[in-house]
Parts: sequence; structure tokens; C-alpha cells
Amino acid sequence: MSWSATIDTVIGSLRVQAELSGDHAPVGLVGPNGSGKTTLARALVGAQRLQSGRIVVAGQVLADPVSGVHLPPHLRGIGYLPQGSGLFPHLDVLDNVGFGLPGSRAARRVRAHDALQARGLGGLAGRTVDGLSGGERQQVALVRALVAEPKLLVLDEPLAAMDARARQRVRRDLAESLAGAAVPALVITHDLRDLEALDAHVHVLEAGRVVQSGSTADLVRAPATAFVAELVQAPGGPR
Amino acid sequence: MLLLLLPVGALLVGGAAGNLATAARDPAVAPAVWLTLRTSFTALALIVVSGTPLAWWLATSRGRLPQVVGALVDLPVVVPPAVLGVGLLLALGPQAPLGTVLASAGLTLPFTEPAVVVAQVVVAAPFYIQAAASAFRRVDPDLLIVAHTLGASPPEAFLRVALPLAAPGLVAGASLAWARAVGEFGATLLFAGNLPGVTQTLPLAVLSAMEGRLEVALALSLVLLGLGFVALLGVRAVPGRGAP
Repeated sequence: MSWSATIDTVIGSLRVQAELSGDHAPVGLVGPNGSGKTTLARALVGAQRLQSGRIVVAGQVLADPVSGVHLPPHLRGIGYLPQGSGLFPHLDVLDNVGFGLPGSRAARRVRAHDALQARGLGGLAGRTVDGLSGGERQQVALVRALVAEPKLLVLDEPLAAMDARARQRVRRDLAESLAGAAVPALVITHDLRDLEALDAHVHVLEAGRVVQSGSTADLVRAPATAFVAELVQAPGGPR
Repeated sequence: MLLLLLPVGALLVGGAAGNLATAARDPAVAPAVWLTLRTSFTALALIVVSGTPLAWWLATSRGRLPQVVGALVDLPVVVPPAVLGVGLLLALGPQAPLGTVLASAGLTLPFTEPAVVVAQVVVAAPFYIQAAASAFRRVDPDLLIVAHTLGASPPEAFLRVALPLAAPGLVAGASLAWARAVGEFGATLLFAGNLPGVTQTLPLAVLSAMEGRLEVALALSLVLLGLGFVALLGVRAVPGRGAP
């Protein structure tokens, strides 16, 4: 399953232009705050209209302003994990995971329970969202997105606001889940180590433009901008 | 604060409670109570059914139009209710174009029970719509995007995510709007009149009782005070987050 996106969109005073593509291997997107990463994610899922460009996922054109195509988010088949996991606080874990499944509520909860158990998270089934740690929320949100069988998964800062131990554990879990589900993914992060763990092809976004692309090793070897140089020199960063 | 509590205290210590039994025997009281409950709950139902989609639109739309519509919706809060009553008479009275159309269909609004409901809707709706729009604005837009990406259409996402998350605000707004409808006086008097058994609600019954039946007026005032207090307690009892 492959995807490609040529995105040209405007939010406020920022114009975001980027060409991204991928297949089974995860694609990473890093950039400073305000560089347009979340806008780009929203354009992919359909919450932000393109001015020009084209988004094609698994052979289906999802957006193409020239031909007047703009599939709404609920018809795109793209999974989305926003910053902070995006779990519904008024639903428990099972209702969250079963939200996108067809059938009665009881049937959805059974399937949600099975999906959680298959990933070793059966213990979280009866819990409320309020009772989950940051890491558990991300794990549940990932299961919820994957059971809907998306054709592409967009994860916006999936490991933010976690302590170092949880981050390491969820990073490993994320890599295993994405590899196991064989779903193409775009992972937005501030931390290159997340992308190194996923062996992702990385794009660096600054002020709405991609300034460098390559593996994390490429970025370490020849940082193209001061931001990239700072990123690769961050404590514990990739070497 | 003292000034706010003064009329409440005066009613409580002024012997109003002792007059409740006398008021209960007054032939005008029971019809006024039932009419008030009937019309206020009908008005509330109309406000919630038509005001919820409007509040959602106000909360999620951008541009000048929602701002202008929002200001228009709020207008009855700052305009004296008597002025609204005059406006309703001018718009829906027998001489008005709209009133003529209604009359040709066999419907006459002014000085009828439906007129009481119309007056209550106009005066109380802003309290619900403001609270509902504010509650909808507090729903994290990312949660709606997530719901969409999980396959929920916009109406489904509204019903399964936005509505339950905003429910506490909606309930609080509905309580306030109901209390305002129960206490509505000026617009009702001018548009629906003060006809015992037909359009005489509790506040209008207080006005009538003030002419010679002071003990009944005091007791009815206490009943209205109690209803308002219960509605406000209801607003404060609403939890900060919706139940599943």
C-alpha cells in the first residue's frame, strides 16, 4: 500500500508546501513549533483543504482541487492520532476502541476487547480514559486507529508529554505495532530518536517548506540547516 | 449583596410561607401554576430543538455572519421584555402581514396560550443558545477530526462526540432558559394578555393578586422564588463533564 501527497495549503499567515510519499515503511516529519506540521497532518486527513496539490492513498485520489475532489475525513480511510492521543473522555476504553467499528455497541465492545488483548492490553479494557497514564492512552489510541483498518496512519507527536521511561516503552510498542499491522504511517515528532527507532525516512519542515529529507543517519552526517544541526546534537539524539 | 438578598429575605420573613395554604385555595392559582408549567416546558422544548443546531452553527462557523446572528440572538437579553411584546404584536398581530396570513389559516396568536409560549421562547432562548454555543466551543476540535477519521459522518460525530461532551453546558443553559421562561412577564402581558385560565401565568397572577389579595401575591412570589432557586441549583449541580 503506497501513498503520495503534494500539499499546498494556507493556515493564517503560513503557507505549507510539501511533497511526501511512502509505502510500508514509516515516514517521519520533524520541525520546530509553528513550522506547519499539524496543518500538514490535517490536510492529509481532510480537515484542512488544499489550495493546490494532490493526495493519493492506495491508488485512490482523496484530494485534487484541480478536479474538484475533496473527500471528507470520514471517507478517506486515514487514521489520525492527534497530540494528546485524542481519546474521547466521555467513553471508556472499550467504547473508544470500538468507536469506528460497525455493529451494535455490544458487538463493538467484544471486538474492541479482542483487539486490546491481541496487543497485550486486555487489562485496560474496563478502565476509563481518566484512569490511563500518558503511555497507556497512546497505546489505546493506536489500537483504536488500527482496528478501523486505515490505509494510512497519521500520528502527531505520539510520544509527547511522556517521561523518558514511558517514551522508550511506547516508542518500542509503536515500532512493533506499525510493523505488525503493515500500515503506512506518517509520524510527526520533535525527537529524532522516535524516527530512528522506526527506521523512518525523515522530512524536515521549516516555515512550511521541506528543507531536508533522508534517513536519520543522513541528517546526522550533513545537517542542512541550523535547526537540523541542533536537532541531531540534542542530548541523547541519534549519532 | 445585601441589596440582592433584600427582596428574598423580605419574602421569607414577611409571612409569605404562611399564606401558601390561602393561596392554594384561591381559584386563580392552580390554573396559573399549570399554565406556567405547561407553557414553560413547551417553550423549553422548542428552544432546545431549534436552538441546539443554531448554537452548533454559531460555535463552529467563522466569518461575520455568525457574529451578526449571535448578536441578534442575544438582543432579547438587553431589550426590555415589554418592547419585545410590542414587537411581537406588531409582527404577529391581526393587522400585521404575518398575522393576516396566520388568520387566513385559522390561526390567531395574540392573547392565546400559544402566544404565551412564543413570548417565553423569544425571551428565554438566548440564555440556552449562549450557554450551548459556549459549551460546543469548548469541545476539542481534534476529537471531532478523530471521530471523522474513524468513519463517523458529521451528524454522527455531532451526536456521538460533540453532544455528550457539551451536555453539561446544554443542561445548564436549559435550566436557565426554563427559569427565565417561568419568570417571563413583560412580553407575555403585552402579547398574550393577562386572561385568568387562558394566558395568566404565575408572574401575571402575582400582578393581579396585588390588587386586594396580597397574601396570595406573597405566596405566589415565594413559589416563583423557589422555582428560580431550584433551577439555579440545577445549573450548579451539573458536573463538568458529560456521562457516556
